[in-house]
Amino acid sequence: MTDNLQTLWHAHAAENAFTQPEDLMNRTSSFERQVRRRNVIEYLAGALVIALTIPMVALFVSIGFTGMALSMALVALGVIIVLWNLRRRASAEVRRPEVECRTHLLAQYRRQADALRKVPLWYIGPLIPGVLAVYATIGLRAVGQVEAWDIVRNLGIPLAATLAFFGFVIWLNLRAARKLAEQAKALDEA
Amino acid sequence: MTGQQATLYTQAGEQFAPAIARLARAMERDVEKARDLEQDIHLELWRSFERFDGNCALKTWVFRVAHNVAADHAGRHSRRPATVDIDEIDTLPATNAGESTLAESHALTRLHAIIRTLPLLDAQVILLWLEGHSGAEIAEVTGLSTGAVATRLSRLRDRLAAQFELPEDRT
Repeated sequence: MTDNLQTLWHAHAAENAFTQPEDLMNRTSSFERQVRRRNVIEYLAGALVIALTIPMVALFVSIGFTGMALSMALVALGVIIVLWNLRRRASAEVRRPEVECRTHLLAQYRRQADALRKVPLWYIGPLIPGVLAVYATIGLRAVGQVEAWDIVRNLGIPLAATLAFFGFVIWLNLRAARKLAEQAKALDEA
Repeated sequence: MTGQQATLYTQAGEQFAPAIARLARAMERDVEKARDLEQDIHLELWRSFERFDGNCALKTWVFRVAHNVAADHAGRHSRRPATVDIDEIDTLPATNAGESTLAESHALTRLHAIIRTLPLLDAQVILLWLEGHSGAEIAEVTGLSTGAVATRLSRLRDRLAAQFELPEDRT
């Protein structure tokens, strides 16, 4: 066991050299590769939603169930808005790694906390109209054909479960945002 | 590519390439990912030199970029263990044999393991100290006051001394 950590530290990796500039010209950072992968996944997810929605909307229109066609279109629109928001937030990030480490970390914590705090607005919010429209359409179609109590019972439980799930997602994100805000506060006071 | 950018990059490489490699290996346990992180730092340094305004020393600029890129890497990778306050280091388990490599001593491997469990700013302070930066230089890179660096460093060194039996005389 050494008694001098700095000596030990400097004895290792002493021969390394920087990557040649010409090798950097076509290189992308792992962060950029991660963003690119995420973008591809988002495009595929968006394409899948549209590919599934169009035939369903067409089917509901063809059988005269216009309300459900509109509801499905709203769901798809909500998903597309969420994907667009994800992309907009990722591309808004400006990289300036030459700032002081504390400032850099503080900015990262605040940016992440802000994104999590606004999850109800940019992630859950756009999905709500489509989900509610689907339940409302089913409920309205059943009016007059089924007892009112049966409609409430059959739709109320799944609707409550869906809303509870959204609420749970919001709670998790707000909790993570609070932790990040606490970390940012501690860093700010350091 | 500008002439200044290439000159600064060459200069930085001559002076700091081993330090950047050590930083990457300390922050990332996986050898391949550490090499990738090292190259990411090279890339971000290369890009950043286009913006270098001479308002700080080249050394300060290089270590700010390097540590911020490494911190972003650590933040993105969930495999980083949960951070532990330096005061709790006594309770950390000893490094397992599988973590050692032929090229690294057990002490270095253990030091890496400890650094990876520290909160990022503490890890940055101790890494800069290990590289031989003065308190004022650490303050300039991290953005902490010199007083805050001194306090943090004293606390970190005391705990590391207990782990590695450091001598009493301090730089």
